[in-house]
Amino acid sequence: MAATVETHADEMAPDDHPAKARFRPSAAGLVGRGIVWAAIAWLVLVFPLGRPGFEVQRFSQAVAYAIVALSLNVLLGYVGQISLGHQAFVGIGAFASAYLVTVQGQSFWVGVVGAAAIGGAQALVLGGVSLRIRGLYFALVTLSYGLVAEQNIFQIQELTGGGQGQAAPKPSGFETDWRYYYLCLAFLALVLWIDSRMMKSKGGRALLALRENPRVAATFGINVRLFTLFAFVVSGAFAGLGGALIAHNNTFVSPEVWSFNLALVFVIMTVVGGLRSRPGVVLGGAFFALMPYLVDKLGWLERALAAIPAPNDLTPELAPLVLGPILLLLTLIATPGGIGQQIRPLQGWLLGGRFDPHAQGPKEVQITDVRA
Amino acid sequence: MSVLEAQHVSIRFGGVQANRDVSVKVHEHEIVGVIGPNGAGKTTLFNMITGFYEPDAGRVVYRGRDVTACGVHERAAMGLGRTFQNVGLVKGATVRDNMLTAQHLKAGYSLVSGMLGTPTVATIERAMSARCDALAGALGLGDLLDTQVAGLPYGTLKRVEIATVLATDPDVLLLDEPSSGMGPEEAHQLGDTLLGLRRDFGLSIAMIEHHVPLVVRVCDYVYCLDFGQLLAEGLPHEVRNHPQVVAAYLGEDPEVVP
Repeated sequence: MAATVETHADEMAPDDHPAKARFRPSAAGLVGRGIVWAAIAWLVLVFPLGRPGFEVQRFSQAVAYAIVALSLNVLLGYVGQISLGHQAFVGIGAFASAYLVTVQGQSFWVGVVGAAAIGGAQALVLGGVSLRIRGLYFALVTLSYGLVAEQNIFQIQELTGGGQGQAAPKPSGFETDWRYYYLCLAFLALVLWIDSRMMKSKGGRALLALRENPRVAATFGINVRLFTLFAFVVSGAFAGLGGALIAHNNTFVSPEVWSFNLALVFVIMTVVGGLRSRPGVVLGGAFFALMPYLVDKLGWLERALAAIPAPNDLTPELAPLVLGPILLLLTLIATPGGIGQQIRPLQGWLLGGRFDPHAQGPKEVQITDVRA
Repeated sequence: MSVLEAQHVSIRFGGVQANRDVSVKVHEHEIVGVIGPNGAGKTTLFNMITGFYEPDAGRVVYRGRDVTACGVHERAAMGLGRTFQNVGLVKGATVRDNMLTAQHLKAGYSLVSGMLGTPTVATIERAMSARCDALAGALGLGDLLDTQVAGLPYGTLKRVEIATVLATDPDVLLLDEPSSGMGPEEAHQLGDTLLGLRRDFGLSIAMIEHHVPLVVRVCDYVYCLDFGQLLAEGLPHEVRNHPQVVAAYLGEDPEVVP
């Protein structure tokens, strides 16, 4: 009897784990996946070539926003700390690069690396003094920092032209909007690579552990405060890089852009994008950056926005602040994992798996993830 | 010489004297049990030993060194491993990821090279993953390595937790109610596992445990806490039959004790 059961178990074994190792897509399936991959590649790489320069500038902005969203994802997604002053980090990166290039006469590359370094350094200082507190109180510190930056740092004559703004020319070799767009894509690829490597090595694992349970993380030998600071510095460096790319894309940085409104948009786009999902966060950032453009393109949406009674005229530029909170509510209610959760079946399929509508990531997002 | 020692530790939370002048010792390769009714201050004692609480008075000494002022992660680096009453695992991750995270201090590469993905990192990560396989295999958890922790039954979680703490390569293991959520059969197997750990890994173990047969079977020495104070200490059968222990913890009549 026992033998029969064992044989039976052996026969059953392959069926127990069907999708994981055994699934191979059919030839038609491979072609289908290839077509979708090609379509994505076309949309990202070829489509902008046929568009006018001012639109391509929007696309570059979208890529830079994706980097900013990845920066917030490190803090919000991996460590569970909310930053309400991220516009200051991005803005300081923008001004740092503009200052290095325009005032100091350095090359664009020095400006970009400098912006990332300064972004990391300010996170180190701010985090060093404030990361002994967590959650809501940390959010308040970042909020105040954003306001301080807005009122003080961005008014420094040398750095920002004293409210006049600072010129930030495009780098030589990448003067056209199209070339600059590909440069931004290259930087996005670099950030994605660093982020994915980090999450596959001890630093990222430490972050995920300390987000979920700092006590357990500590018993694993993880220095919780040091690693929270580490995440903050990585986030600051990404933000500085994103800011520099935004600055040179517009060839000009003006101080009033970096207001608290922008910090809200950054947080919303990251959460709507989907915490801890790289594709989701990138899509979220790009979507919010392109929202004014899309509103402009979609006449019915523009008319709908115009119908909202508001003291000021609702320009398409304000669309993220109007549509953002609505999308945020929908995300929190319906899919806490945001866009990342919605595209997960597609993602699995594109990577050669089955199209599984119930696919869930191993690190599913819950509303309680961010305790602020 | 003792490996780990709490010397006259006391701690007070507001109006509650959670521990008063408690001294416990763990010698090399010894399995020490800490028993006592709920609320006796056993977990508080563990929290002071592992560094979550700083005692108001007294010291914690590890291999002759006063570690009272060291942080939790520093003590972990010295070789103190611990499990938690309510399962100390990262629930959103797989068993393997937990065991990899637990090898944090063994990952001999810098954070920056980790982020850049150098070949050394890949080699070390492979070795770490192989260690997960070996440890999980030793504890009979090989099939579960790529399962997410959140869905596993409680008794299994307790074993996964032990495997994970082993991955930190501890010297002394502090287990907080390792047999909770297990039936008598599983608890018996756990006893074999603990004895095996001491033999194969050369560990010294201190454990908080309610399951008296397990304590009597595996422990070399037992402490009994009640209302934050040491009520009795000694060999398992001595403590078990100690009249005060029987009165405080096991019930009035020793005959009902299994």
